[in-house]
Amino acid sequence: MTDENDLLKLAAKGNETAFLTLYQRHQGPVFRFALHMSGRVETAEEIVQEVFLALLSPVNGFVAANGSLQGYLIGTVRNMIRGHFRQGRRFVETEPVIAADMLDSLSKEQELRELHAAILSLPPNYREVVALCDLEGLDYSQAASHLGCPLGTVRSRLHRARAILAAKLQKRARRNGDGQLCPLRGTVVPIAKKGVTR
Amino acid sequence: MNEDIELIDKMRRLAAALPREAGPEIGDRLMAAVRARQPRRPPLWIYLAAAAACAALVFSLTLARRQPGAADRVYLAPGFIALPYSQSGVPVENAVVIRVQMRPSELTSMGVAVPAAASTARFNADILVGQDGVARAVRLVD
Repeated sequence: MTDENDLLKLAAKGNETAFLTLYQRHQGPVFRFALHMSGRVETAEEIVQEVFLALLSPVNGFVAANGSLQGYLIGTVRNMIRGHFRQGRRFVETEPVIAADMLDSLSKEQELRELHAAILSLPPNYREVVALCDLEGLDYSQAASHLGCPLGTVRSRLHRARAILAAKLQKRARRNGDGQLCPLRGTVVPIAKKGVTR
Repeated sequence: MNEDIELIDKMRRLAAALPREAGPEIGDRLMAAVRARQPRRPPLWIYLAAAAACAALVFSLTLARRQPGAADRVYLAPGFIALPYSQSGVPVENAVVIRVQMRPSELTSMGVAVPAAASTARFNADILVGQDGVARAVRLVD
């Protein structure tokens, strides 16, 4: 594998192959993390574009000695998401982003939508770890590296996030059982000022 | 614990159901941005103009070498010897001849052949001085 730092330098000079290699390698995880954090495909795509454009800049801030390129890109996404919140842009799910053709039945689709909405309603600190560990399948140490926090923090946040999600889903199940159908919507939760570390 | 496993399983199914990658138009836009960064080559006519300018310069330098300067060839009267390092670009128009007495060593340094027997004597010599005050040539009188 060619060193990513070299690929980055070549891409910044306009080498299409180098950029394509980097893009194909990293756009998926970057897009999915942005999607899990924002809840909107359009926003996630916008962020992917901004992240990779920033990467092309000669002063992009990536230092190979400080960590992996993917960790740097995830960190950039987090900053951009925070920036979006600061600018007052709201991440509200306007259209279902779950592909219906991949679901067995309507009930499963509904179940997953509720889960998705519950994840989007988590505080960003918790949403980040859920996105990286549970949705993306990274291990604790990789998530800790990407988020720039200790491994124990990832573990505790994930534990707490799962507890919140379980509670929300149980509450939903009880409501549905009572016949009070009230679909969950993606709720906007501003990025917490404290606790988001990088 | 079972609840956790069930929840994680649901989240994996959710992750599989969500879009995995950004749309192709994002990649296209970014590739266009990369292409815009490629250094552009100057048009062909710039290369041609530069080559023509170089050729003209070489030609004019060659020509200048072949044709001696006006100051070199015109104003040295018979018997005068041009002084080394004194041929400026200013042509000699109003020259003055100054007669001086010079030592043989001084004449030799100016390129004038002096008889070896007269090594201590002084010789009369004419110095041709241009209107710019620069001595251009020397002539042994005796």
